Amino acid sequence: MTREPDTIFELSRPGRRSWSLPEAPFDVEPVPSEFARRDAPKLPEVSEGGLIRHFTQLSERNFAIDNAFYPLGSCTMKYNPKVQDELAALSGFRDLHPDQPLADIQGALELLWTFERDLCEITGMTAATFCPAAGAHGEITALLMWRKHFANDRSRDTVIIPDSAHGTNPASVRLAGFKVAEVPSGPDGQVDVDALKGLLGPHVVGLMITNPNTLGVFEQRIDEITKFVHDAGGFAYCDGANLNALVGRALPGDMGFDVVHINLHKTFSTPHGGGGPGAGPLCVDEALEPYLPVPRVKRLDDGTFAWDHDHASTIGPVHSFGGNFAVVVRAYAYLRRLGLDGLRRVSGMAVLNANYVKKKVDARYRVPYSEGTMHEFVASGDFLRKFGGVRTFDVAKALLDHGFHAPTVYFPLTVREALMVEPTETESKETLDAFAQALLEIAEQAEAGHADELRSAPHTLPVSRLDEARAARQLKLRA
Amino acid sequence: MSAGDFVPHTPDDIEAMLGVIGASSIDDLFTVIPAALRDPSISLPEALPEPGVVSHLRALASRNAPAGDGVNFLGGGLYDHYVPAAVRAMQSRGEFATAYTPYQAEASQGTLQMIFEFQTMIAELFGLAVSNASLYDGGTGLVEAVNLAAMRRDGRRVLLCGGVNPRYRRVLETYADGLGIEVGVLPTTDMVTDPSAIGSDDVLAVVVQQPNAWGFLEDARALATAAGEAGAVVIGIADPMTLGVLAPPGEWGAHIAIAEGQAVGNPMAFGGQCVGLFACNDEFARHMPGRLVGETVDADGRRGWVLTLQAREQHIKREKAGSNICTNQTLFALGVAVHLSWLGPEGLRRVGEISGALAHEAARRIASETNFEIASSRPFVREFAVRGPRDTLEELRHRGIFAGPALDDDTFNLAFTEKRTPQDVEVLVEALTEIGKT
Repeated sequence: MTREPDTIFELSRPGRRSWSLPEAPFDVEPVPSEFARRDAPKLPEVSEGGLIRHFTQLSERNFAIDNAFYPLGSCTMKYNPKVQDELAALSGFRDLHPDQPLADIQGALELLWTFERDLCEITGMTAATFCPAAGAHGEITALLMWRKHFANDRSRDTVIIPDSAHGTNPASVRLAGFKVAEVPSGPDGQVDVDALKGLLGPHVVGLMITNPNTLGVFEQRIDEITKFVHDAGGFAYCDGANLNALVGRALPGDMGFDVVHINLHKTFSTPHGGGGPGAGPLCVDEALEPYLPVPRVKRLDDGTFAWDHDHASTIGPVHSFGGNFAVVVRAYAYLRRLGLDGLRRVSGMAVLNANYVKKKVDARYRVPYSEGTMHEFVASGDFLRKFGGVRTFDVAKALLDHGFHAPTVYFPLTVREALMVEPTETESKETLDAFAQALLEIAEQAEAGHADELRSAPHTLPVSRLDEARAARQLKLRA
Repeated sequence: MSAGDFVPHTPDDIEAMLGVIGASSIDDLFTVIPAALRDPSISLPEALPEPGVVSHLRALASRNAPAGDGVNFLGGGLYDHYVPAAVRAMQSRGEFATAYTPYQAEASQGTLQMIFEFQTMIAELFGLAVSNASLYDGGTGLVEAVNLAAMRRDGRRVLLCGGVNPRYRRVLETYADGLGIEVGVLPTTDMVTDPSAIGSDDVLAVVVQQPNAWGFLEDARALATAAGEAGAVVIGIADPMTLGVLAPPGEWGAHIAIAEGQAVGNPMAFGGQCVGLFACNDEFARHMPGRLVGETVDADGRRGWVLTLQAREQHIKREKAGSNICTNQTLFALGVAVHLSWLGPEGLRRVGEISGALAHEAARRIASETNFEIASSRPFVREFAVRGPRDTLEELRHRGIFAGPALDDDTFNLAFTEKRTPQDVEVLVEALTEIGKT
């Protein structure tokens, strides 16, 4: 499979086709000429067999959780149960239009209503919305809710974010029209609480924080942190990207958070699709519930379910419809399969696996914030630079040659040459042993003077190292 | 008792691994959580084994009456098109479905090349220079388009033609205060906007939906010209399944175009399988929101693909990023790419012709045989609003016919796709004839 594949446009031949559709049943009504398309779009013309072979061959040029270990830190790449796809494809879900009368959609509304209650249990919150289509969409939704709450106090314009935060946090803050104040991490990798106190004041809208944080470490002083924010009149947001470490064992609500988003495509194991879809439901406490986006689902006195399109203080809709329902169905099926004991085993084995891999590699790869590792850890590849200038980037590419997807690299920004490893709970001891072995072999290779091999990796994939600088300089975004 | 939890660990594995770590138990690993916060009471339903989960979800699904199974004329942005089997076959391949965002290009050439081909198809379809790897949906697509316009131009006022889908308008209004913009709605006459309604004062962007939310054709070229004269960015909203027959946004003068892409290759899924399509001209290319895939070469000179211009994005630029989008809708974009490849230019045109022929036959007969009237004298392609007695949607539903959405008490949409048949039109006209008599 190292032959360079054609693009589907290169495979295209005039007059070839896949489509199979009836003749137009009545005389075709031509579009008036001033509105009509002049030139047909240059879409591919291929046979159906050619089409299937093309996309199948493309798929074979991918690492995926179905064919490889994928320890991409902060992304929670766990096995995605196949039954979920089958259930989301049931006609009763798949062929439903949201504008159908309520009597037609009772099963769908009941699923949303029930799952909302379950997610509130899991987070310690009182209400939730499924409208956000991704984690970052949940963030901006919450920030717009805060903006609505403080509509009469525009002197509150600053959101505090730790230096270890995901990039989506500050980007969402800006999109909501607020300013970012960055709070540094202390020597233990956790929020510097004294520095935080110095940043708080009547200008603060709130704090956004990931817990466990992006170093995989639980913020020990989280209840103090949220209390100080509340004392200053602000709200506390929990970026739920790392909820896989906590499910069934601790509640963001108990930690003093007012709002938390859940990445269903991470913790609740829905397939990530090569970049999406996700789903970022937002769970909130009583103070924020009035601002939740519409539509919401309510249960009427007669036990039936209905849309609530217009509750009093809503920020309005954040999605054309109600969010990624096709993802929500899958996640609900996952929760019903696991129950509380299953969820506790998820977090238990996720934390066990991360600690195990860390222990296997930390004699060589320094783990700067090693105390209290939960579901992921961040190692530093900095020591390799003295061996012929090997970088973390090279370690990532070399891991691909070992058949493993690389960890997240160069994030968080608080660790030099960061390698962020999140094994997840669905990986076996044998896989983890082989992965740890590969990391150690790569370090040995560097130390033995074979830096060049690492710096030119990968060697066994369909392409060798790709020139990213050229792609940005000579921009070519279409065939 | 566990119903099976996808965890591979045997008791021996756990013991051996705890030994390596130096921990006495799994609970021991969680003592990093302060005791007061640890192990709260949580009430969740009992775990179900796989057959039980299937029965439960089937029972919920069976309490829905999906329009896609019936005589369905529902529109308003979500459409009931035929999705070829080839689409589902490709979307269900684990190599596509269970991959992450293609950060490691060499291990993700399949996803990257697919997105590159998708970008090409969308740019072609819209008649614009470049496209991206997808956004969430039509509504947030409009927000991103306005945000992009605001990055390049001054001005605060965004003027929406009255025929812009109200769902998209409301999403934009939700974001407006945060973006620092004001949303204005231009008046309509005969259900379209007169270009003279566009003033010249401080206009950041003008948004034109073609066909509009009621299915009728705006004088898009004249609107774009008037907007251009006011110094505004022209944002077009398209219905992709009409673009085999209808001039695309790039042709009538849009600088940025967005669309809800569900109609291409994705089921209605209760509004939950959307995909935001996005394209723009060269002026905006380097500031586009979302992931972009660019062509390059590897160290051996072979062609390959990478995520490019990442320096625009949130994970690099943080609060200076133009957009916060990270996860998008790539698997649904794959549906779009496979469906468009299956159709080709001829098939896409055929979809437009079948839908249009059915719509015009239905409109002729409704106007001549029933007491309903077509709500505008303007041309339409595959969807139009009709006006008649109140509560008609309910009456239609009793007869097994799905239609809508409703504009108000007496006006609602009828949308047509290649799934509809002459028989469906017959049933619809008969029903409207009866309802109109009462």
